[in-house]
Amino acid sequence: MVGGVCAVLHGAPVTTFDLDLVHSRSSQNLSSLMSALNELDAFYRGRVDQQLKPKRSHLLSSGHQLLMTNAGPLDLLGTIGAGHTYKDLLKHTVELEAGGLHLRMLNLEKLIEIKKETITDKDKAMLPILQHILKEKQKQ
Amino acid sequence: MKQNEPKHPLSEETFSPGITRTYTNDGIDLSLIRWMLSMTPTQRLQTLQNNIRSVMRLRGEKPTT
Repeated sequence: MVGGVCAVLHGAPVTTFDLDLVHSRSSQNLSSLMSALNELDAFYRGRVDQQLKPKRSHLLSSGHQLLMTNAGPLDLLGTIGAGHTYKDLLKHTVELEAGGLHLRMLNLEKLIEIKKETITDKDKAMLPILQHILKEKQKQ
Repeated sequence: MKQNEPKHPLSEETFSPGITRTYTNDGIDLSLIRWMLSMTPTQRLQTLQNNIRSVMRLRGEKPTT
């Protein structure tokens, strides 16, 4: 897990509506992911003319799949920042239990580093918040 | 903030011992950050879900879950 929900779990006082995931593009994981997406009735957001469903080949790409599901917006990201893949990011993750779920998310230091690499207006707003959280955590 | 502009007496940069900083000069509300850090990850997630539900209710939309 990366992005806004990850930032909230680290302590960012922000509201976000989509769940950002960098997924493993291994064959086994793509099969699991496709099955989960079918269960969630996932389709691409922003297409008013037709409901385009994600295909396995889409998930294999390094691009971003911006989806809507019956549980809310879901962004599946092949890579983030300067081309970081699931495999690259794995060593910079932490595992936690929250809301009865076992989650794996990017650690705060790496999240800040990635935000610096992908400095969009949204990231510009989030970056100082994350940096102050890190400062507060270091004081504890 | 522009250079030479006077700093707020309770801002991070002008903080003096004994006074709890409430926000920084770049506009970050430290009290909200400390509030979030006082929670468990589950409580943070619950706060986010409550916020989303409230916004959707105000928009007249049906929450997904």
